[in-house]
Amino acid sequence: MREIDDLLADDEALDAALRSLEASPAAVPGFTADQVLTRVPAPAPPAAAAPAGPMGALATRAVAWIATGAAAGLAAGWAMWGRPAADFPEPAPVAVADRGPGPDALPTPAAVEPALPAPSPPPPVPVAESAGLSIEVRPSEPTGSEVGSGDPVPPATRTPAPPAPPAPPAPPAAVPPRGTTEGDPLRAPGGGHGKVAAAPRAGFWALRAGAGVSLGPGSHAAPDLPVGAGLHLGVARIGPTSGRVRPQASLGLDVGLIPPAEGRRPRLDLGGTLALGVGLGRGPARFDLGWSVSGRYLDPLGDTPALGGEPPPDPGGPLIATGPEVGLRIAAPSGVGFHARLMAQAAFTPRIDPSSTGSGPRISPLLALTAGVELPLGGGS
Amino acid sequence: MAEATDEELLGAYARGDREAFRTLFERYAPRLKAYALRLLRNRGLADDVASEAMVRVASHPERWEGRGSVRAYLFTVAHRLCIDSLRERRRDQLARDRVVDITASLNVPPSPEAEAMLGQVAGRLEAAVAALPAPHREVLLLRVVHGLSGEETAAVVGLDESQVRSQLSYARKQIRESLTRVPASEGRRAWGEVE
Repeated sequence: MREIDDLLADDEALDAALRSLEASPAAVPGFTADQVLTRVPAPAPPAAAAPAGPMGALATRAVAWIATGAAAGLAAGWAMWGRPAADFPEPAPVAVADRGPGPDALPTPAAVEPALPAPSPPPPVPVAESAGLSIEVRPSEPTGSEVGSGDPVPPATRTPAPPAPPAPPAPPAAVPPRGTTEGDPLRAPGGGHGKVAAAPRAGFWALRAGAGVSLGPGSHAAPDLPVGAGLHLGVARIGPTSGRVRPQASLGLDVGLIPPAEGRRPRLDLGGTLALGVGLGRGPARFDLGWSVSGRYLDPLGDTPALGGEPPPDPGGPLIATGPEVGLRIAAPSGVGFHARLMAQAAFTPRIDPSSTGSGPRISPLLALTAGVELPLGGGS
Repeated sequence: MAEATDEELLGAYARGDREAFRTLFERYAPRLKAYALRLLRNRGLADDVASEAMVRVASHPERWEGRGSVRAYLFTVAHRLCIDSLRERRRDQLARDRVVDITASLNVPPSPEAEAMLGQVAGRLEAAVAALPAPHREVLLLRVVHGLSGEETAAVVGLDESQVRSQLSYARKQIRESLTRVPASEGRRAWGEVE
């Protein structure tokens, strides 16, 4: 037997003595395992449908979709990468006939009209005649706003038209100072004299569809299943250009699937993401910087028996995630583009388990990468 | 089945194997009751806590989230039930205006193993453990007596590992002081219960 001095010698001796206290005779339970089991419903029998069943096949298909979409997008981006900006004319380029006003000035009516058939001046209209006196009222030169306006002249009052005097030369248009866009809000900066003018880059709506993957426990609050995959569909509002910056906003819906693992059934992950940011750069490729906020719900189908497989350890539920995002957009001449973005978010899982089993609010990291196509919907302003 | 790990047993039970639960019960029901007994100092309450912990695990085996060990999960459930029980008992006593210092008495009788190993010192050791402040006692019981790792102990009591080490060091120091101070005759005193 050990003496107290032995126990005081070192921590190991004391711990060994303390460990011997574990099996106290007073700790014999006053109940049995069968009594416990009678108080609980029988656990669900093993599901007949293995995870490799329909849902497993769906997971495989989702991965195939993602691979296909990403490969197509990357191939399109690769094909367009490095081509000069001239290969990607913006919509409706306008040829400038007059070289005077400046390189990219919006053509004024006076500058455009010489290229059109010159309208004949209208004949003089006699309004009063007396001996030796003839008074004619000659309409002024037609302007853009007057062409087609006014009351029609009755044919009976017309007289043969004298030869039309040559049209006076058009007064020179007001020329804004070179190198500025003053007085020409639609003029794109930076164009050279006599080049094709870049059309104004107005805002527009776009449809975005793609696929993606998520990585991290925040994606589905299950540390042993850190990878999810899904599809994304949303709309984006691309704002008008201001220098090299285009404000933009997007709102999308995500449908994700957490693949089965270790005999556990797959789970759905539904959510939406709102992102605000700016696009930077010119030409076919543009980088995006922004901030995203996502709201998601994990495992909305819960313990649906049809899902099969063993229930995952996490009960699922809502989560909110927010953080910065970076993106890349490469647009083809048609406006169709490849779009990819990477979100780095902090996910907040407000799970509070009333049964005191250890589940509580949690903040965890989440990375999500989506890639797909961007289709312009119009609606420019 | 007896050689299966705790995690394998709980997983098997979740798939419908009730025998797996019986094995898990044999492993942990006595330990959970011993832990509850040293915290609550009441056999009836300790029995209630241990049985309720096992019922909860049996009812919702999926709530063990794969984080940490099943052992830590079981002790976490029991620990929180103990805290709930202490709060409830304290409320009742306050309502009856009969405040009782629940840390004042009751030693758990030492195990035969401890008797054989330590002789009379076993009783004094139990008394020293019982005299510890509750937070230090919890850490000492989980970490040393029941053999949880530092990480598991931290998860059960809601501290970080450095705090567990600190409290464990303090608890050992207190026990040494108690063993040096308390006469052997007091270490063998009869043990009673607090209502």
